[in-house]
Amino acid sequence: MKALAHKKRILILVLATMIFWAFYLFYDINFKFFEYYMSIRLPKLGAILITAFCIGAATLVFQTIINNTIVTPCLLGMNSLYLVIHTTIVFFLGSTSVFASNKYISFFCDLVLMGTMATIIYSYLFRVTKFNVLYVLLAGTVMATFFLSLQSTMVRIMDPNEYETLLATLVASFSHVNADILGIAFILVVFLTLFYKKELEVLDVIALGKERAINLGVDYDRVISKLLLGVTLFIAIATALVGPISFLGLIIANLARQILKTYKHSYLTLAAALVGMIVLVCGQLIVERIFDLAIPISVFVNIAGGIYFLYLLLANKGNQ
Amino acid sequence: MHSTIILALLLIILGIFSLFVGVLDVQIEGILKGDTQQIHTLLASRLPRLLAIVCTGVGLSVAGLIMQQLCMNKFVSPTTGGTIASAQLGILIALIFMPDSTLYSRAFFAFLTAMVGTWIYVAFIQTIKFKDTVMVALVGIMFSYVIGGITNFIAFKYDMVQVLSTWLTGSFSLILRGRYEIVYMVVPLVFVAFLFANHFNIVGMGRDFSKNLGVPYNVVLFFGLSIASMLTACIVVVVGTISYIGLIVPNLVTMFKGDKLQGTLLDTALFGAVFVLICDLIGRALISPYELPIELIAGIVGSAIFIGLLIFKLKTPRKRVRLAAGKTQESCQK
Repeated sequence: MKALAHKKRILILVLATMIFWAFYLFYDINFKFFEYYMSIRLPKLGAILITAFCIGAATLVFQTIINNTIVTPCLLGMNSLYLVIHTTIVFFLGSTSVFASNKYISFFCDLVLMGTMATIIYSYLFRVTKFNVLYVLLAGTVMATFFLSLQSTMVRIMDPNEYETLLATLVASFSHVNADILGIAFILVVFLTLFYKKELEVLDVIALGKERAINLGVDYDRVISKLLLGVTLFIAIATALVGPISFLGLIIANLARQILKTYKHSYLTLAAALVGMIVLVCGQLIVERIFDLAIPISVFVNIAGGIYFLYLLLANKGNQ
Repeated sequence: MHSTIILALLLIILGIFSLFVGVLDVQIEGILKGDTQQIHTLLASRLPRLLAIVCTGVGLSVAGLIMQQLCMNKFVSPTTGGTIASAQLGILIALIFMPDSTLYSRAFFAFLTAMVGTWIYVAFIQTIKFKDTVMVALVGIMFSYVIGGITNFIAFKYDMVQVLSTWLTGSFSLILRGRYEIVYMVVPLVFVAFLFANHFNIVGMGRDFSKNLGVPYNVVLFFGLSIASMLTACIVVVVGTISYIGLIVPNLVTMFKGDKLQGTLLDTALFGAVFVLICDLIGRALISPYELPIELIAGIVGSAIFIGLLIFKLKTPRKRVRLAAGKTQESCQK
């Protein structure tokens, strides 16, 4: 009975998502140039799809691992890590070097650097704090300032022309997504999801807490460290694809939890991805139609996400 | 007492040294000989800069100390309490709605928003009563993100992003005679803080405790937070944002000197001034003859120290942790 209710709600979400997609694709379209419109709008939709899935899944897994539903991996400072890596490459190698100008190489460069650096830094932090997540988060937010200061120091000394080319990649935007990279990102996401199939299946057990999970036969430490790596990689993919977009995960993971009221991660992940798509498509529509691209989407996501976070705190006060 | 004297001496020596660092040549012989050009540089640029640096260091670290004492949490500060973000919002509002606003009217707006923002934040953390002290800081950072988001939104809307970023990056390079005097507001405010140090201390022990001693909890809390906000606002208006001074300096000082406000206030003020002065000297030396804004240097140095502090606290045995992060929990739960 319960599973049926979940399925029904997910179905409604799927329908809603479809409607938004259709609206986004066909709104205000000139059928004379149908193909041209599609060639612009489809890649954006693809990027939204991958971002929503990556961030939604990563946030859900992260929240389950650390047993706290009001945090997001974005608080770890990965966004500023991306900024600093990107700026460093342009700063030391110049915007014309292959690492910055070739889209494929720069995508992989981002991915590999972010993946390894984040893994090294955060596994060290987790070890030092004995898996006290709040301390890791605090260190993460402070590190974000550290990275940002480094980044803006480099920007200050940088050649203004170089900065112009750099700036486009620093602000989250769905406006100029490269369709080829989209394909690679998609393949990566599918591959990673299959790779993590076994760990994702035991997530429901991990949600019960460390002791119970171990009693139920889960190799806890190994699974957790593998999952954390996965979270890092998923965020890295999303960030390398569209740029830093904080707080999205917080909104969509919690909305998914509120809508479904379940602990089954297979449903939750799906719902989070769907909600994420709706949120992003709405945001993109607002950015494109109302503000004529003058305001980046991340501004809206930050304001909405932050207010939602404070609301969540008030709503379950005492539980944190 | 030793530490106070050492810090004061250090401040004087570094201060005098900093007067003679810069692009235009200023030398002791020149001053003594009465070279008008050099005297003019000294009086119009170097001296104001030094005074602004000292006021900034003193003001931000004392504001941080007061906030930490009142909220009973070592992680609260102008940066992590939304005070700086709110002051920025106030400045932006003044810039947009009163294009011909003077420094004073901007400062007034910044006072107002900084106070309101800080009150909201403190009211918020007091209604929720977190079990974990770190959560308080995270909430503050989130709160700053929200206010920063609103500021950004308005800035994008009115095409002020660039203006805002130059206005908000803390830097002493534009400090000249006649354009920074608001920073002197720090002096009377810190003086008042000294006078009321005892009251802040008592309030820092909890609502019930202060009521028993006949100290009006809410009034003192309100008053103390207002002083901290005003200290922050008058610095943000003149110098811009400088993160982490208010968080790191009080923590470092109380780590060695304990929590009694009267004993630590002077040291915190001096140490804050020395810290900002050193950061500024680094910023001036690194790519001279150009200079890096203080915000960047303080951000890098400050956050590195903070993370080091955190790891140090976690690695040393439990007793030390109590001493540094301590006594917040029971009072928060009341």
